[in-house]
Amino acid sequence: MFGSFDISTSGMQAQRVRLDAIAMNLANINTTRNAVGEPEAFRRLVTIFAEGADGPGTPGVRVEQIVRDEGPLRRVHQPQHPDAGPDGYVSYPNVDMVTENVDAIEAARAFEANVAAFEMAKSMLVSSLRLLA
Amino acid sequence: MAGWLDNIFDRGAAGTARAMAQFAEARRDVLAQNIANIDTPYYKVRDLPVAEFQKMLGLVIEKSRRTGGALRLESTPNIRVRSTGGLDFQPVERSRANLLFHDQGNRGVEQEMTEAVKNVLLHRVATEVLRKQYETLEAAIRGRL
Repeated sequence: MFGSFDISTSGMQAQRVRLDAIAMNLANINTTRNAVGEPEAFRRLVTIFAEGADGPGTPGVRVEQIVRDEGPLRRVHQPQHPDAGPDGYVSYPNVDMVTENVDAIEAARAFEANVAAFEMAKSMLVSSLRLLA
Repeated sequence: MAGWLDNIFDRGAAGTARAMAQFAEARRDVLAQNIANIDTPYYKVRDLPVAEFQKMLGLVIEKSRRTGGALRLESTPNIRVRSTGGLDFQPVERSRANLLFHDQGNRGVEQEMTEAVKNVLLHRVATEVLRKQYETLEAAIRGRL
């Protein structure tokens, strides 16, 4: 009976995790050092979904993995920068603001779609309950 | 339900409405699954066999009209009627050959939402019909309106 509520909830949760990763990417758009302060540009996070909230064969969706995008970094010529290499170039994260914003909009809309599905399931449950009244 | 109760609860519109409500409730879970997996790579959208169910329902309505008996649902390849009267459905992959992503997925949030809305409306019609039938039954038992 409550299956579709759980399915929609897992969808909302997965999209929220995706939005968290996007927020992380945007927050670190200019980060040139890693967590311990060494010069290493941040690499954008990519969220990967898989079917089944609690593993294969179960209903819903889950975040299977959050991987680092190993694509080419943004190279900017800044010889005065403390993190510049011998050639005078600084590696900036491979985060593109437009891509992240588009992804964020898509995640928010997908979240809304799950909320709408939840609402529909709720209205069906209410009309079933009205049979008793 | 067995015996004379069948003839009260499963005669005419009530039996049809009950089957429709059961179908809509099972389909709701499948459509929610499609919406939740809208961004899952390689996911293929599924659906319950709508046409198969409607065809089966049409046939059994026809049969019950001819024989004058209660509505008896029948099993088909993807629909199983349990001995208790409940229904089990086997979800099938929905074919949508003209829209494919690179990962061979065929999902589209618009179609899922449309189907979900249609499903809710169908369910509302079914439960409303059932409610009216039960009210009529109640009125008949009390003997006054």
